[in-house]
Amino acid sequence: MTEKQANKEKDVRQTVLVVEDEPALSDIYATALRNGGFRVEQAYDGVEGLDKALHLRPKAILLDLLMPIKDGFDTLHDLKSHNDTSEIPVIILSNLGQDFERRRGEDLGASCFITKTELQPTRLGELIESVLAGKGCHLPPLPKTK
Amino acid sequence: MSEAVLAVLSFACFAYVYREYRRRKAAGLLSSAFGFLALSAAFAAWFGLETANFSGTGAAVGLIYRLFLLVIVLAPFLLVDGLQRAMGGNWIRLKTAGLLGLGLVVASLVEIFTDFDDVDFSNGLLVFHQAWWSDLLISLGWLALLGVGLYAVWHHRRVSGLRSLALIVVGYLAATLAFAIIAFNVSHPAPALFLALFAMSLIVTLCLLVVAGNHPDPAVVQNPYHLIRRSLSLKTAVLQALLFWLLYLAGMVVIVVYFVQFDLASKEGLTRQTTVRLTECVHDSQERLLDQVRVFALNPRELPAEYDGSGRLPDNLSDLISISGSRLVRIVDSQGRVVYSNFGASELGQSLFGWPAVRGALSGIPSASLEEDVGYGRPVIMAAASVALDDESQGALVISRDVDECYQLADAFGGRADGYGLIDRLGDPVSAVGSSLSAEALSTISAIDEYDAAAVRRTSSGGLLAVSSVTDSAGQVSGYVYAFLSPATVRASAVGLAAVIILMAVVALVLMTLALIATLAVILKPIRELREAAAAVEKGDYSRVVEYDRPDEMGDLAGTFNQMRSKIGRQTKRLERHIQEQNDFMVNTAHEMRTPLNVFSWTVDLLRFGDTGRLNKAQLELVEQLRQTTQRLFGLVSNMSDAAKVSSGEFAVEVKPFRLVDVLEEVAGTQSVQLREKDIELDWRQPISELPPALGDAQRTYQIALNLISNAVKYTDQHGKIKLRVKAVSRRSPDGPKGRYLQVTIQDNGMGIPQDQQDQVFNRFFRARNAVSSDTQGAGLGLFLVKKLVERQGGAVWFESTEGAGSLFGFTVPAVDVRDKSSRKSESEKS
Repeated sequence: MTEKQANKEKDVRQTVLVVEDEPALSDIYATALRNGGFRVEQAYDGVEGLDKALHLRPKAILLDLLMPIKDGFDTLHDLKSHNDTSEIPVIILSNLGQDFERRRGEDLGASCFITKTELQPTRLGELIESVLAGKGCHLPPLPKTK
Repeated sequence: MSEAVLAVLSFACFAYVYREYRRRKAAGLLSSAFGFLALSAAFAAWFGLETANFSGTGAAVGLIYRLFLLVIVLAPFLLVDGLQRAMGGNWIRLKTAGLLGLGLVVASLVEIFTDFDDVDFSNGLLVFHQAWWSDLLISLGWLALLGVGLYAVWHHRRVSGLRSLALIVVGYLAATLAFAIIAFNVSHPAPALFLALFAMSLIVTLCLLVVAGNHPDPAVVQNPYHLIRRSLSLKTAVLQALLFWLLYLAGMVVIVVYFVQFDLASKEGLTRQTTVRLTECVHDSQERLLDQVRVFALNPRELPAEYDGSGRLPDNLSDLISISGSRLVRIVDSQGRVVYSNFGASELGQSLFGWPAVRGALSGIPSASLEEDVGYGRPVIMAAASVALDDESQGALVISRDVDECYQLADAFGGRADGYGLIDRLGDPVSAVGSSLSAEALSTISAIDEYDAAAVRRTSSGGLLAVSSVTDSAGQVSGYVYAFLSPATVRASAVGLAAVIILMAVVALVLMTLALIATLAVILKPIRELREAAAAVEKGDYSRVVEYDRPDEMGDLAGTFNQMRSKIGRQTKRLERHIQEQNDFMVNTAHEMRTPLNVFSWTVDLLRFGDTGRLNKAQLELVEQLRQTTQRLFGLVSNMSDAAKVSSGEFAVEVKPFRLVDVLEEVAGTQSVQLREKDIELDWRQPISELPPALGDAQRTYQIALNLISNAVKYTDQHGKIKLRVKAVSRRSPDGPKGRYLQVTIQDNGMGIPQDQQDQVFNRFFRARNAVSSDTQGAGLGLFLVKKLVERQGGAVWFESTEGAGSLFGFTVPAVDVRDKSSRKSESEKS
């Protein structure tokens, strides 16, 4: 067993790539995901996001749409057109929310399209797990607290 | 005469309409045909009766008159019925009025048959006599007919096209028939003139109606007068014919007026002549009789003072007097009592002292005068002179002569009066020959103060009257002689002349119009050829030559046209070649450019995907810029290639149903990031109800929408608004032809397009100067391509724009007609 392999085996957590240009938001998502038991990589624009996705092969990608240089849709398109990254489920998390915007996301192959206002960052972990388990984007409703 | 013309015209109409009925089998045409036939028969019968100088009993003529009127009211009813069936529509009011008129006439006919012997035919329009109310009914009947006509004309403004024309026909028909009735009853040229006018208008309008109804061009059916406006030869012919007719009519009116004056003068002369002859005859006779009795004064003989009762003249008279015919001889005593008369013993003892002539003679002056001889019973011209009687008293010899001899003299010399006669001193008619004086003429005579044989007067009803006084030998007026012509006689020749003129006018007008149309058709033939050649040139056929080489103006025009045509042909071919070369160049260039662009693209991908080794962040960003630029270049090349192909026509556009809303959604999606980056609100509301599918090429429509929407995004500033709407419409463009389309409108509040550049917007390579200066990117091909693509699919594209305020672009795509079975089939095949 090489050192590298040993290192890899040690770390059985799944990697999630967060592509978000707002550093504050990116940190929030990263924290929430780490709390959820994931390893998190962060990229701050589409170019970086594509590059990291290609080399790190995350299990899931959280993708913002409005980013400088290369926007989310363009990144998504490139992700899905390269063999190494086409299978990775992409969850679009954006403050865009109109029907035609969701539609584009779906057409390009995103697994989920969630508006930032819809989601509580604390539930991000559950969301990723649900997607990875193949259950789609639906979050189970929170149990009513009384 | 006009009745003959009308009969012929009506029959021609019948023949034509009947032939149409046989061809088209429309019920309305049959009733119209029979209407015309009835009219034709009626007019022919009228004409026949007049020509044959029909005169039967009053009842028979009255019956015929009423039968004729029945036809007059029945025929238009049939025609109106036919027209209404042909035109459609609910002419309930017209029909009711027509039925009413018909009913009235039938009622009057029924009345006649029950009261046959009481009927008495009198000439006149509104006749009131024993069976007066039957005529009242008839009059009401044709008043209803007039009402129908007036209503039709008034109503025609409310409808359009053929129906309007049909109503005008009804109006003309009613007017024609009304004037026919008037002309029948009144012998005045005016109604006959109007009759001809309206008959002509009727024929022309009917012809227009028939021709326009069958015309293949819907614009003509809509407004039949277009037929005249569109044909140069018809217009010219109608104008010229009208002009001719007006001039002819004016000329004829002048001639008629002169003729009437002349005729009147000659009639006046003749009337005066009659009066003069009569007066002269009376005076002459007076003189001659006077001479005869003067002989006695010079050769006094004693005449018997008592009548011997034999009736023979006393012997000493017979050698001096020849008694022939209507000569009366009387001898009176000094008291004026008749002692001898060859008239009979009944006169003996009667006093003739009342006669001025007798009084004059008894006082020693031989006198003569015109007197009404009560004993004889007729007016006589008498002369008297004193004679010695054998009982040594003074008596008088009175010789008289019947005034009839003067009447015969007047006749023998060609007196042409309708009547002439005598009036006594007191103004009472005494004797007359021919027609008697009307009361009106009598009142005219009594109103005259001076009797001058040279003056002929007109009575108020239009007759001529000449009166002159007859004086006795003492110079006193003893009576008046008159001669008159009745108004009918005065007018007769004018009426006859007017009828002939009108007939000639109608015939001349028809012939001239036909001749003009034929001539103009020949003269204007080169214009038609020119028009056809021009149409061919417009379609792109430059080989069509106008073959008219005569040296007149048309020949010049044709020659110039031919030269122009060949020049344009050459130019067009050259231009087309240029464009083709340009297009080919563009297609080739685009094709050539794809290869190096592909190389760029692959190289960029190799770099960024790490196949040449992992790049650092800065390098990756540069490569990303390169990639985006390459994509833009690809887009430009694609546009260029498409633009070239669509111009040269090698552009395949498929026609299939697709969902337009889906296409628009996709396009909106591609713009979502730019919209957010510029903070532009896209107001895109999906229609509430499902739209019909669009019929066209989904890919091309995507291109169109993408071009227009990305333009809107490009040219709208920060925080702007774009409104996107789609709906089903019934026109291809706001003022375009009707059809089923889906319309997409994109409204922005961006920089707009300057007013003076708006007509170049769809040109190839056009970029508005405010777009160029604002540093937005574009090659200018977008809108050019959009227009071509939209039109290729069968839609239209348009825009409205205000510089600085924004633009609205709209385009249409044909929609599937839900009733169209074939498209539904392809829909089900698709699913």
